Amino acid sequence: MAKKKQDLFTYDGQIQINYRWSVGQAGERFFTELRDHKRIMGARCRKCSRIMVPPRIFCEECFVQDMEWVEVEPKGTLVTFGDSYFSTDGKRLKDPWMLGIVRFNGSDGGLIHFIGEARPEDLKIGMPMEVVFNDKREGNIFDIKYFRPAKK
Amino acid sequence: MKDRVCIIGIGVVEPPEAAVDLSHKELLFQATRQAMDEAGIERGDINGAITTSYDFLEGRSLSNQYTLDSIGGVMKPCDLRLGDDGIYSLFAGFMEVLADPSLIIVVGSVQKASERDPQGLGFQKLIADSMEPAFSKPLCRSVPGLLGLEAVLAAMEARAFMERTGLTEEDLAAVAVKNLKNVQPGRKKKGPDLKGVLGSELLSWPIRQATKARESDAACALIMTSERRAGRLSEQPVFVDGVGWSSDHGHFFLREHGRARETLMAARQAYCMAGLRRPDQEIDLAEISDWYAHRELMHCEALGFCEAQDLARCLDEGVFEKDGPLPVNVSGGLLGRGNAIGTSGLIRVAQVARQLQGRANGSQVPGAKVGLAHSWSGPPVATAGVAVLSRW
Amino acid sequence: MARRVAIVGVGMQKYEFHKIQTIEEMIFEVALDALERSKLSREDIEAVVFGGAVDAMCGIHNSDKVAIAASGGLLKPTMRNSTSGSTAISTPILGYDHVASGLYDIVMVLCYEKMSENESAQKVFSTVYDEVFVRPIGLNVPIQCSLEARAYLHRYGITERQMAKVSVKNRGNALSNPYAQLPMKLTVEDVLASPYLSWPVKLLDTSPVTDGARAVILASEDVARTITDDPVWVRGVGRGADSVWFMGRKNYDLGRLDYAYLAGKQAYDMAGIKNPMTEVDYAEVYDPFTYKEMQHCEALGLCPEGGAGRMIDEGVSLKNGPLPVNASGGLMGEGNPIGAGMSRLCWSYLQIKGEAGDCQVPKEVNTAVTNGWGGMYQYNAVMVIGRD
Repeated sequence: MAKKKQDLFTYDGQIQINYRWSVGQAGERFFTELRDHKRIMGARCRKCSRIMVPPRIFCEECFVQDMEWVEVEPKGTLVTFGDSYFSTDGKRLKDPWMLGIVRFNGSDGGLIHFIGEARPEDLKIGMPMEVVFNDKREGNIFDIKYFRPAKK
Repeated sequence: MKDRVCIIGIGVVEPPEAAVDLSHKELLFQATRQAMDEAGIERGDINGAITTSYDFLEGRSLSNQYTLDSIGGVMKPCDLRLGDDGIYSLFAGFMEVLADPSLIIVVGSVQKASERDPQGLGFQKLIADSMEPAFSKPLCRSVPGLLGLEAVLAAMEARAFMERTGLTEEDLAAVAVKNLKNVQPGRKKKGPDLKGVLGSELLSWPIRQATKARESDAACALIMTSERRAGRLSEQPVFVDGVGWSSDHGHFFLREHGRARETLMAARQAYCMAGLRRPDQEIDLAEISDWYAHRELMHCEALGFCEAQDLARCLDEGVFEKDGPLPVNVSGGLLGRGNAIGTSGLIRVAQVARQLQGRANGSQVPGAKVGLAHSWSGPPVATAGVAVLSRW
Repeated sequence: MARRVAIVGVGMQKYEFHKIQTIEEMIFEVALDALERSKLSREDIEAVVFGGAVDAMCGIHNSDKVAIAASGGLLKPTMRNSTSGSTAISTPILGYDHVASGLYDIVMVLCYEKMSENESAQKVFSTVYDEVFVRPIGLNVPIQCSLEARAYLHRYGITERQMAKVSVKNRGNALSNPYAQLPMKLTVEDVLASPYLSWPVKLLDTSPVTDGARAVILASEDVARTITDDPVWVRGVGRGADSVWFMGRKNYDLGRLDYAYLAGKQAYDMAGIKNPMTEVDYAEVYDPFTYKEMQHCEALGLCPEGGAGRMIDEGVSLKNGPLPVNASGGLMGEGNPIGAGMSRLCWSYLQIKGEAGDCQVPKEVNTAVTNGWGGMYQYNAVMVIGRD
């Protein structure tokens, strides 16, 4: 944002609106299973057999609403990742935080989440990863704590 | 005979620094007036006006309400605003003129990055805000440093791209060096060299301060009409031969990272319309999105300028340099000029049009006959548009 | 040159105050419905046009992007239009441009809005106002409407009683509409007794806040004739817009919608209609408030200027009247998810085809007109559709 010049009028303001978003029909099932059973659910299109994660009520390829719920192994491959040393207060962090996309084995699509128990130099695109669940789960994406390189 | 679509007036306002003294309405008016002057028309000649803007970027819902006066749209058929980058107003104008060749249409867009958030978090917050709310938004909003989110997402696609193509950090830096050098004509300060770029602040490997475009203020307006009217109104119309636009998955986690499929599909459509078979040979210059240095290369591949395995060689041989066989971003691109998010795509069209008119002061590509303008809407979406223009 | 464009299918879903579906899921439902009704498949769709008016309502910037795949538009040309309430009709007009230009033969138009997830629709609406001159003063939608309604009533002598009759009509019509959010059996006294939001606008003069989506499939003449032997053409389109500076307009008061008359004339000229009162069979006009339906009837030439009060008094616009207006229930009865006001176009189409179910009007319908309105008393988009 530009600096305020002495001789100019400006008006400062912000838009602060709170929201309560629905997770949708597919989200309802996904987060219930995640919270109650530590299960990752995918949706399999009965027409093309694709298993989608995150699950949706429709297959956008076949364009039909003919899905069945399947459990997906909480393991997959690292599609890509990135690291950052930025923190909220602008100070440089000692250890970076990392986000990655993991495609679960046997499924299409993936989830984006934090990567933990690793340093950026340990990570390689295509390496096997696994989910670490939170002990305390509430039915949202943070029921997954992070992905970590799969332990043998 | 098919009546081709033409641009008969171009207006670009790119203030060298933040335009705090002008309102967004005033900025857009100046661009529109410039374009109208070049086209030799007055407000009474305008048959319609189309704008683009993003409410959240402006901090104004229904931001279309505010541009209509500036674009000559009062009491005109002006009820069309696209929530996409500026180049989309060209696409809509293109369709309107094709449907009715008697029309003169104004298309325009304005962006005032300087009005957003003091900590510079404005656009970064929007990246998380544009995600679907169940799986991606909560996560992206909760990252320890929101200012780092854009770079991390950019890094994710850059890493995938580099993994697939074998390109290195040096290759990405070479793009930045080229564009920062291209914007120099007439400027005293020299652009950084390779070492300078690689030494700039690391945001998220391989994204660096110097390989990511900074935001800027700008406004752009174009006047469009059919060939039959263009000849009588303007001395130097520019043909719009082909347009194309496309969107890949909106969800970040569903995409094939490192491959600009949206650009590929948009280009395919535009080339087909323009009758181009070998874009790498038939295009004389291109202004494409270099929001990040790696994106310029992804788009060169997707636009058919060069295969992935040849990108490094093309860079080494200077194929995309100002004096090379296919100059890319001779204007300096977004890296060089700044990124007026939401308007910059239309500015690329203006830059190419100026080249085809022979009026690209200081950066003219000699004998330019066919040019390509490209726009990518930025993270986290995968939406792109392409326009192929040619000389009158 | 412009090719002829037909509507070949519509996609509907229930309008509700709160739908648990995400925007993506809502869009999929209506897109699929439209494909099924027109017997087309996702592969047939060549381009997609989205219409969503206010991102701050759903809290998602660039909201159409979450529904790219759900729309059938993955890796296809997609575009998003957003012009406040007139999005309802300006979006299908953009879709019309896609086909009339010759670029595409089959286009899917999808309008949507989710208004239930923000903390307060009024708070969201406040972000609409000019941040320097208007927002700090605290203008809100009820007062904004009372400024206009007061000017309208004053200029033409319209009464609150006449406004109330429009509410009774529309909410009553909605009882036959399976997708309606707020069907109600009302009397004029019920409406007059409802609390004032800002004079003369009362609670029962207004439409609700709604979640919902609609789809329309447009096709070129050649393609339309392979899908149906009874195509419904887009016969005329019109767009009108006025300055954001409403404080001092050429039309010195807000009671007369000059920009709407402009849009209506443009659409009728294109459709070759000289006397809408006799040549238009049916109308679905934008009625976020009762007085707006009245203003739009006048601006669209469905009754003489200033004559909307008489129009409702004489029962002209009733379901079984000579020129029925909003037999679906309109926004008031069916629901008002801003961008998805395209439902007005969908119902006009269904009435022409004789597929409006219990909402079907008894008279024959060949030509219909619809409109959308929005902005700071600024926009009006009009579409005339019908058989040859």
